[in-house]
Amino acid sequence: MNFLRQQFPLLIALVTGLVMIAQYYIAGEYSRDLGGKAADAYIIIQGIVIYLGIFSLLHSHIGKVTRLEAGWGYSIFMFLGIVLMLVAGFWSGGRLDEGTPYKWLYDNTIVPLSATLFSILAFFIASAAFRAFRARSVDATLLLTAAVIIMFCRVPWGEYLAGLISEEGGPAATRAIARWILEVPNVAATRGIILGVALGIVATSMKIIFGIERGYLGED
Amino acid sequence: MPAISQDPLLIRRLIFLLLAVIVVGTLLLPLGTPPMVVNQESQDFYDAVAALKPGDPILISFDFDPASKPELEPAARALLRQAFRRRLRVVTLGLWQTGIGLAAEAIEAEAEIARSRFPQEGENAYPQYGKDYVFLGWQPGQFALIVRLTEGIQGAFPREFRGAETERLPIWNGSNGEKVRTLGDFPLVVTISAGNPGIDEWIRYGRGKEDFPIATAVTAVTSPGRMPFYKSGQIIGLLAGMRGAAEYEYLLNRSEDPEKFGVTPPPLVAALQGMNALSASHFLIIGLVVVSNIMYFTSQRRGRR
Repeated sequence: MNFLRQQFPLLIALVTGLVMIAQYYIAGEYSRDLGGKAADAYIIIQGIVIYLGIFSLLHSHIGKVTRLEAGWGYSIFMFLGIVLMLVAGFWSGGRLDEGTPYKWLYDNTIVPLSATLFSILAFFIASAAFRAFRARSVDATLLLTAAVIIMFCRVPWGEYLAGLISEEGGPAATRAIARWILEVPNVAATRGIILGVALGIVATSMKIIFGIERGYLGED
Repeated sequence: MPAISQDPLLIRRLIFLLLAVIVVGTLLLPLGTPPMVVNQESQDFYDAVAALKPGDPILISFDFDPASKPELEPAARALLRQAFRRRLRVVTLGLWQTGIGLAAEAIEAEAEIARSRFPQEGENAYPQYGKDYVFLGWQPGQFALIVRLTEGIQGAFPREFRGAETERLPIWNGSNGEKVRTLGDFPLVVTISAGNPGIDEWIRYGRGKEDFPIATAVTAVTSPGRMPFYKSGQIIGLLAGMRGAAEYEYLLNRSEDPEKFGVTPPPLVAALQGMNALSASHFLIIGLVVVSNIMYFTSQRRGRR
């Protein structure tokens, strides 16, 4: 029993990890086919996981409603949403064609609700900029200056006004500063982050493959 | 009653109100489109599609959902318009399940516009579904789906969005007898990418296996993070947010030519119209930062006294 709980998952991780790494570096049809099969397996598992996710969501919200926890009313809306979309989906034969109830619900609930939620970010950004963008130190002043230049120069009216303010060079000179910020310090910093993250992923993957990192088994 | 500057809740509400008034006002007022300057990455994006020959295949992946619709849909529509006007074979799919409805709608709308450009009937009609364009729909798998596409597109999507067998569609056969099988067979792949899965996965898992040119349209907030890929040539064209889409619309509208591209449809303006609101909101935030710093330094000076 202990073998099935502890050693067996580690063995699966070890074999799968090593095989997938190896197939990436070995040319040939067999290796290519293996990569395709592994991708297929992942796609199938993810398809199953969607249903598992729905089950988990329902289970969690049923608990909330039966225990009358704070905010249980929102769970009712969640159930209503799921039932409504399921009925509309089956009614429309799972098709998002124009004129079907499924498409109508998509256009009139998912689209505006998602767009609204995302749009609210603009208000938070404006409020956060007011509260946080303060020249408290040299670093903060540099960040603030770069942000103001980029915000000003990356919009058409900003470029136009910059041209009116400074006739020599005009928008081209202002844009050059904004481009330099984007193409030099930004690219350098982003590259550093990307490389750092990639090395971190390699290290963590190695730890999982060789059984050093066992967090996914529920161990500390 | 506390002063306005000492009431954070009141300040926040005032900022929200100011932003709402400015954005809605600039969208409603007939201000016209602002003067546009085209950045090199947008020009490269346009040129990448313009360099394709009629009949060439192009793969477009709609990797966004309704949350990013205002920012990315104008780029998607403009890309479809350019692809159809060049009479390309347009293969489309989506990695984001909730964006599939938007993608299907945009594809059909632009295909309809293209049909009005080239009013031919029968065999020569363009574009025809399955022959000149197809929507493969969505499959689970995210990055694994991209890996699967490098092994075979028809295997990854056995049926397309409308339910027909993908393998049997004539779109895969080129006029010279060449077949489109994997990602490597496309002279251009474009992802309209709002996040993950998106351009990062296409580069990591797609271009890691097969060599194909890729261009992208991304949200403004993620565009600085994609600059290293553009500067290194891993991305051959980049539309950054609504501004990038507006530049692309400007280039497309300017290059309309009835002799080359048939009957000119109404110009693309979705992103161009948003430029006034975008400019105004940026100016508001800059103003808020200035006011905030004046308040900060004033309070610091008072504290020292």
